[in-house]
Formats: sequence, C-alpha cells, structure tokens
Amino acid sequence: MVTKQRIETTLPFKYESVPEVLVIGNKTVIVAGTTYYRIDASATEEYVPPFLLTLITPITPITHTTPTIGDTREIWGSGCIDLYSTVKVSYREPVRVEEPAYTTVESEFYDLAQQWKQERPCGADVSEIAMHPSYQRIIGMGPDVVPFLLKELEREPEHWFWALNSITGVDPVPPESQGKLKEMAKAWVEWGKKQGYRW
Amino acid sequence: MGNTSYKVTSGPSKEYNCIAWAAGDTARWWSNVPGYWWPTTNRSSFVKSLVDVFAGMSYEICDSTSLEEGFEKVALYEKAGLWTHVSRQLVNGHWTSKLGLKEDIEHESPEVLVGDLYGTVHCIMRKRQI
Repeated sequence: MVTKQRIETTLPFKYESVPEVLVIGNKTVIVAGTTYYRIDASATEEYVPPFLLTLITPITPITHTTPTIGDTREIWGSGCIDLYSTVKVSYREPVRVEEPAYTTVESEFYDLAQQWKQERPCGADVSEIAMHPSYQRIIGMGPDVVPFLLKELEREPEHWFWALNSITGVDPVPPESQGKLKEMAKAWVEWGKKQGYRW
Repeated sequence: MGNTSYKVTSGPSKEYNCIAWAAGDTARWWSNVPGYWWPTTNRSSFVKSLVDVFAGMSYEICDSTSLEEGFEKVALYEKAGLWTHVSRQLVNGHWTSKLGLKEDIEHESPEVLVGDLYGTVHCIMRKRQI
C-alpha cells in the first residue's frame, strides 16, 4: 500500500518542492526530490504525527521513478534493502512544509554531516576521511558546532573526534580508551557535559 | 584495485582499521590522529612512524612476500611518504586487509591494493610466530 499523505513536521534541510510522504510496505518514506528518507519512528498509514525526524543514512534509490501499481522493484540503496509487492497510489493535496525548526548552525551541520557520511572515502584511514571538504567545513564552523557534534556522538559514535579536538584543542580521551570508538565518544560526551554544553 | 580476485570476509565496521586488523586487534582504531590508539610516542603520518609501530611489535623488514614457515608478515603501504594501509599475510599465503570503515577482504597479494587509494607497498615486515 502506497499513499501520499499530509506531513506536519520539519526537516533538517530546505528544498524547493513540497515533499511527498509515501507508505511503502510497512515503512514510511519521505521523498524529497529524488532522495528517499526513511522515518525512524513508526507511523500509521493515515497520519504522520508531528515529530522531528531522525535523519538516518539517506537512501540512494536504485531507480528514480515513482512506484506504480504492481511494481516490485527494489527501491532502496545499499544498507537498506526492502521490496514492496503491491503498490497502490492515491493522491491527496499535499501541504506546504513549515520552515525548518533548526537553527542555521544546526541545519548547516546536519547538511554537512550527511554529505560527509555519503561521500567520505570509506576505504581510507581517519586522517583522510577527515580531509573531506564537508568535515573540514564543520571544523571551520568553530565552537558553535560543538554541541551538535557531541549530540551526534551520544546518538551514534562516529569519527568526529578530530573535529572536536581541532575546535576545542583538548583531548579528554583517557589512554585506556584510545581507539575504542564507543569509549572515546563517551569521554567526549562526559567532557562536554562537564563544560556546560547542552543539547 | 587490480583485476586480481579478492573476496570479502566480513561486514563493515567503524571500530577498527587496517593497522589494528594487521596487529590482530579488532577492538580499537589505530591512528596517529589525537585520541586514537598509537603504540609509539612518534605520532606521525610519515610511513617511518608506521614502520616503528610494527618494529615495536618485533617485526623486522624483510625482502619477500613469500610465505615462510614460522613467520608472520605484514605489508606496509605509502603514498607520497605518508602511510596509508597495512595488510597481513594469512597461513594460506594470501593476504587480509581491513579497508578503512568498510569490510575485511582476502586478496592474493599485497599488489592487489596498489593504486590511487593506498599508493605502493613501502616494505614487507616479518616476525617470528610465537
């Protein structure tokens, strides 16, 4: 079952066209342009409650065509494969999405973070991964971006440590935790809270 | 990579990298970048620093990639003088590599990974098996 439905929430990025919300199988998908974003929380087919989307790895569709009745193609990219069998499309008048509730720093950070995760050279070491232009721009955002980096670390440990070290000049990771992703993230989050950062 | 065959031997992981994998450690990411594990005081991106890391683990430079009974071997890669990658020899004579954030692979020789990303093989090192 695929239906278009109203959306009353905000998205961490701006785009030109009004997005569509599709329910495909048991997953709810927001289509912005030709990129599909899977909603983390569960949702009914009739109504998507207002909530702040947790933007997980954007899914690059293998094809860009809109699903049609009877279509059985895979539409998910790598890391998130799903098949839908019966597709039914109905139409409701889409509503204009409100302006994003993110601050400028927050929306810029999430845009850049998303870009970095999609484009970084995954086969390289962290020193080269951190050289990606988006990662460098995040460093260039300076102290204002620190709470968002810490928030992301708390949500999902990731190689943000060089950015944090570059911006703050400190390294709160104890020697016994060096190189251990989750422990490094925990050390930075604890440091941030002690410094008075809030997110 | 070159057109020699290789096979994927694990899923992707952010927890450990090529150096860690070559050293038998899947719990940590080894890098000279601050905050990461680096077993020597010389935290440098120059390939000599990586040679020192493995020398500290009793490896010595040797001149052959051939399988030698009683020895473990690693291949160190560099690009423009900076270290880029390490692969480790398996008991069947093939080599294993962790590709950054991606998966482990088994490949026929160190030369399979020579190219734009990892550069060239700087040296082969070996140590006696315990």
